[in-house]
Amino acid sequence: MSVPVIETERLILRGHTLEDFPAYAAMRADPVVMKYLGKGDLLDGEECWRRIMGMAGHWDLLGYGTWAIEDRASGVLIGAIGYSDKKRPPEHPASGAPEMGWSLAASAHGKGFASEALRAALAWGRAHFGPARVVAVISDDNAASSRLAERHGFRQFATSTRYGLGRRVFERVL
Amino acid sequence: MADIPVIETERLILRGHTLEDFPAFAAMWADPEVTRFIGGSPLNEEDAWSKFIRIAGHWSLFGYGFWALEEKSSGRRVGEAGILNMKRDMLPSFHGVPELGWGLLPEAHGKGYATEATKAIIAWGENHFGKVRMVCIIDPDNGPSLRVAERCGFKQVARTTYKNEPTVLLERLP
Repeated sequence: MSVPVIETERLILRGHTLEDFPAYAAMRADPVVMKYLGKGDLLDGEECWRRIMGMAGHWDLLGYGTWAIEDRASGVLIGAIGYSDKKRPPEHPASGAPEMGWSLAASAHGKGFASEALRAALAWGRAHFGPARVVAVISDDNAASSRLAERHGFRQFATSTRYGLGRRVFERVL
Repeated sequence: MADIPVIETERLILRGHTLEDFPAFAAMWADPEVTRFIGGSPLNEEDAWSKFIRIAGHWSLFGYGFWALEEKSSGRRVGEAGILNMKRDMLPSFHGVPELGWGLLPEAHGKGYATEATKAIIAWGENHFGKVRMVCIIDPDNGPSLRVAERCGFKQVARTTYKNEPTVLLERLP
């Protein structure tokens, strides 16, 4: 499918393309970006290539997914945000609802970009899913991301552990 | 969704995967008989899903990819086969060279299905890419798959490793 494009004051949210690969791989190889994601491991190029394919396929199969975040002023890829079905096991508190996730390049931190992108993604979600429940899973020690979630109406309702690392699990209704 | 061509052979229909295929796909990749020579360990549902969405995205990003193999006599999905562009981190490198692959349910082994599908895919590939070199990689202990490759015109060109496991690189010249 063609991924919907969303413009905000300073950002464009659009589907990832193969041309994003170098910038995407650079972000996923940056310990500052990866610190709170997954196991905190850096991703190699091959894995990033797979993820770009996976993000495209997720949109194709489910009609929703993850956008690339582009800085309108520079045209540079600065992050990713969106909704995914990760097929988490049923016992995981985040299973059964579209899961939001976001990440930004280190150089784009602290400028309110995540907030701007999240507001736009939530508005799209409301139009697409209706007043549905959505969730987000955030590392215990990722205070900036938890604050962002709370500012945008998410409320923590559970915890989980993965790879021995604690997570806070948030929810909100769109 | 990319428009995935349908190919019919004597006993099989090759078609794109749809969401309805996911349970059978996940069951196949959870079977240690299937993963013994492909990847090494069974996939849980989350990992199978990552692979499944990647298959869909591969078609939309590249215009070629993996088909589901459906047995005409039963209507059952018995496996998958197709052409990949995985940017594999291995030597000798074959980035951008069409890589053939196939995987079948254990009960569909030994019937010549992999050869039947792969020959049809090579013919499709020669039409799509022109007369180009094609490659595949196979576990050196996977005798049946090595024989499939040989029947389809592949010759062994290198013994190498991929993700620290021994692998045989084969090529098929036009």
